[in-house]
Amino acid sequence: MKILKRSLARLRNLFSRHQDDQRLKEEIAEHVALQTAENIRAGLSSAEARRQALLKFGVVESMTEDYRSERRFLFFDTLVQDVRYAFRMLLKAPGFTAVAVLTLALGIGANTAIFSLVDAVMLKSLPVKNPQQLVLFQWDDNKWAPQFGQTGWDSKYSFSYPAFQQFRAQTNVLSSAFAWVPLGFNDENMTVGINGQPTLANGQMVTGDYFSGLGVTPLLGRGINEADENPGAPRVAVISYAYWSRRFARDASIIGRNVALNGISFTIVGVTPSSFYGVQVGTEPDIWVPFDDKPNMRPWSTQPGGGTAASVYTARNWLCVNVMARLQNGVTRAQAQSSLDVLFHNYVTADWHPDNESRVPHLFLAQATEGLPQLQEGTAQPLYILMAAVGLVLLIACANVATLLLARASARKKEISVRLAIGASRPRLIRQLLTESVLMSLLGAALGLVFAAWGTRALVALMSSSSNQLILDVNADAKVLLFTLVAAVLTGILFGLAPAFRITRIELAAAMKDTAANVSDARDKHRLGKSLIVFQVAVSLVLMIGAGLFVRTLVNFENKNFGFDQQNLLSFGLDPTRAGYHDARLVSLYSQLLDRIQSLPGVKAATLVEYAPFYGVADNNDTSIEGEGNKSVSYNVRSQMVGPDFFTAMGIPIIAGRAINRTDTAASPKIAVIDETFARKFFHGQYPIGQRFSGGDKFDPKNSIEIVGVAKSAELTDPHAELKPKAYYAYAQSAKYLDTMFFEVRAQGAPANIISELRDAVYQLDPGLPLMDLKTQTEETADALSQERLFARLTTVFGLIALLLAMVGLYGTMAYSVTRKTHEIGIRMALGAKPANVLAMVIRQGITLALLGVAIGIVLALGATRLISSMIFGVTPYDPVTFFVVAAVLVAVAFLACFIPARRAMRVDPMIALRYE
Amino acid sequence: MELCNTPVGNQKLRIPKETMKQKMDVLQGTLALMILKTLDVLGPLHGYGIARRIEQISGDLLAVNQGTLYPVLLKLEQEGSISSEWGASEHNRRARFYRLTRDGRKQLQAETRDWNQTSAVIARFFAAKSEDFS
Repeated sequence: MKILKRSLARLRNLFSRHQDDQRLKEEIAEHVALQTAENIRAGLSSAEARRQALLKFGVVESMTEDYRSERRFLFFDTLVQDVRYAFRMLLKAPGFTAVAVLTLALGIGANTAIFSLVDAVMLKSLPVKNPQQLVLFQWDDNKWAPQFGQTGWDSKYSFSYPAFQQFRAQTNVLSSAFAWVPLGFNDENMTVGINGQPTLANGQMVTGDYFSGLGVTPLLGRGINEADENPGAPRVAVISYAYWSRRFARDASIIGRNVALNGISFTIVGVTPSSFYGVQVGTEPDIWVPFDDKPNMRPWSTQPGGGTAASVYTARNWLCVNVMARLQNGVTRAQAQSSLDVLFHNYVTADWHPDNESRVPHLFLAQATEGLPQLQEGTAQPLYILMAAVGLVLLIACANVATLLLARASARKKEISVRLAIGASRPRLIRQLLTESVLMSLLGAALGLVFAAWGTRALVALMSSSSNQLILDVNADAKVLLFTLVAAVLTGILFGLAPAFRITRIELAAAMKDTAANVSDARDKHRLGKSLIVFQVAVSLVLMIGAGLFVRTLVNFENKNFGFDQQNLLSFGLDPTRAGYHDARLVSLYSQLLDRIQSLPGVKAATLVEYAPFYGVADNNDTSIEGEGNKSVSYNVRSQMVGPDFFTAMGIPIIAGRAINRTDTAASPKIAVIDETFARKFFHGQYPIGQRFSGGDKFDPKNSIEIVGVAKSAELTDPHAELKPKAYYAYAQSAKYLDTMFFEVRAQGAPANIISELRDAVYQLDPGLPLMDLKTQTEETADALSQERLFARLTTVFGLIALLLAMVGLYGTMAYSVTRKTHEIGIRMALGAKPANVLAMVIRQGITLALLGVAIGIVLALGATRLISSMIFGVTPYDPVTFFVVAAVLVAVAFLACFIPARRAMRVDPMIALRYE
Repeated sequence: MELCNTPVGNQKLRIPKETMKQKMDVLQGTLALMILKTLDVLGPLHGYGIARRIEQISGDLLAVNQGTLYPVLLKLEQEGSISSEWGASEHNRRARFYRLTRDGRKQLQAETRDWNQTSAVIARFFAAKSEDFS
């Protein structure tokens, strides 16, 4: 207790040094004055009285020291001294300081940049009121109920609107519940008419509780509320701060303005605050509208229930919305979950009677502080791998600076010896040296924060694709600053500790004489330096091998044959349903436009497809084949609606039967072309032409389709995916399901040349149809491979930084060693060693270190690359070519790093060298 | 290299640091108790007054190095046993007056009891003759 009180008092005193020194001074003065007066009264002369008083008081200095050490933690006093002294020492060697601080800034900055990204993606809470109270609805989608159909990204977070309405009614456990759904799969899912011009925006439908449930207060106007959900209520929209700035120049009179959204007039009633980006990290809607069942505006731009339901409100088994809620006060997540699970169970089993209760999926409530974890789930592993890579870069930076410190140790030997000689204790000196290294790493961290601020933004730009911008708040928050501070302090201690111990271990007498006699000590010191070099080489080899594997992965993807011709191919999407085109009218629009485009000069071929290659979205359907009886066997088949000439235009060969062509219309029998994978997997060698299949888990003759052709397999969805069985349908025969289609146009020359003609062709037909996702297939493929590209680039940069640092370290060590051995080299040469021998000797020493590092690095890499095996493609984690090339490059560069000091050693003049001391 | 600027260089002024520290620790214990007792008996007092009083009673314990009193006063103050404030000395100059706090009074009582017990035991040991142990 007493100790606690004293410590508290000392802590308080930290900030009041001068004032308290003043108090002691006054007390001493008064004490001496009183004693002097006493002495005078006793008969002494005034001078003698004062002298006696002072004598009696004792030594003021030592008492003051005791007083001070009583008053405060002495540690802090000396810390200030140490820091001041450390600054002076760093300023004395500006070159050394600059190199060390820059190295550390690179290392720490890279770590801060990647951590900022980890923070923005994984750790930041939603910018809403009490985000930790939010729960996200999910279910175990591996127990798929047969009646379920889903549209959207992750099925485990998807629910049907009617199910949501039942959840929302559970006010005994939920204080508010809200659902939302994007209007399409990319950022351009809504057409906004501004001054009569159609533009594209990212729209989302939300239920009435969305803004109030999240606790978001609009910057201007109001949010969407329950009344807006009523049928017949005036149509209203809320826009984001970013969209307001971008499109309306932050016009304060925006509230009440009418805009045409997908051709329907809406009134803007609110603008969200700038910090709000919705509930999914990485995305930001531009416009929020209430749920609506008008055909112009549908969840995911898709027909409700895949064409089977009239509206989102009635599609009982169409999973398309995401749901979040806040719990009622006093209700735990477990209580709410069990109560809602009963509800969900009844909902699922109302349309389905499984033979076993355990096949019914359960509902879960997950904590949703960070929102819908779409981005988190996809990027967690890559981010952690990058974090590990930059961690290694920082380790190399540490080793590098440690090497520098060791080299500097000889320059400071005399200073350290003098301090030891006059009585400084070794721990005290180590502390002083550590203060210097931590100070250096803090300076490095400060500079690193600047690098990181720039680097993180560059990273986000690299991670975005042209159609799906990654929107992240990467501003450094307290977590990032704390991370950087901790990284800096640990770094400083890590690289400073070993050199500090080594430097202060000095044979005093020998060091003071400063002769070359203390060879044993120097050799010892050199061993630490050498192991640091070996370590740097080994770790940089690991990083470079990782980089090599990622580069090969990217190259392998880029050169992969996906089964269609990517040359001079241009694609764009249209969603005429937003402008009111449906069914037969829509088919006729598409076919007219296709005719126009095909007849454009410069166009070699053109066709239509439901999803452009590598757009990343596909329809997957249960399919049953005739003749398998009532076995109830269904296969998951990926389907695409395509236009006439699809196979010739895309360069996909037909290997049996015929292609889909212009005669396949709504009036003719329904046909399909399947691909090789489908034929091989489900027909087991039977001839598939003429066979029939249907959707669903039982063959349905009334809705069955005849197979008329087999195409070669091609990957059209995701460059990373395995080939899936595919079926192609004629779009003209599927008018009921038809919405967005992509035009695939093969140009005769460069695709960029025909862009304006394409725009004109669309505009002439209907000026209200904006072109979406207009890009060449090369761009589309590049976008789909953005993560591979990011990894190849980043790890290459990290690998090169590591290589550079390791080689600077090797060069420095060898150069230092040559300088130190000038005397020895002189003797050797005087005794007849040839310059070539000296050259070989120095290079041999350096290369030995490099080879040792390479050997250790290969062993480490064999273990490390297995961790990234899921992220590489077309190479094994122990790809011998990569290992060999990287090792060879490293040894070659190491040779160069040794050659320069070796050549200097070779040119040593024995006469000068022997006089050198 | 400027010696006096190095933080450790300053230590050359503090010559017999280690031995002095040990003596202080022993002294501090008894001195603290004497200060508490003095303040208990005489009421609020400035540093010089306390030193005088201890000198009168203990003889030469504080005949030299009266200054050692001040670190002990500070320690007691930081522990909360005494408090201090500015007041006027006999010469009407500013002086720091120390007073016993409630905690200090309790501490004094406890330590007096301990001290009496200890000294009684020690006294008995010293009084004992060799035959007492057989």
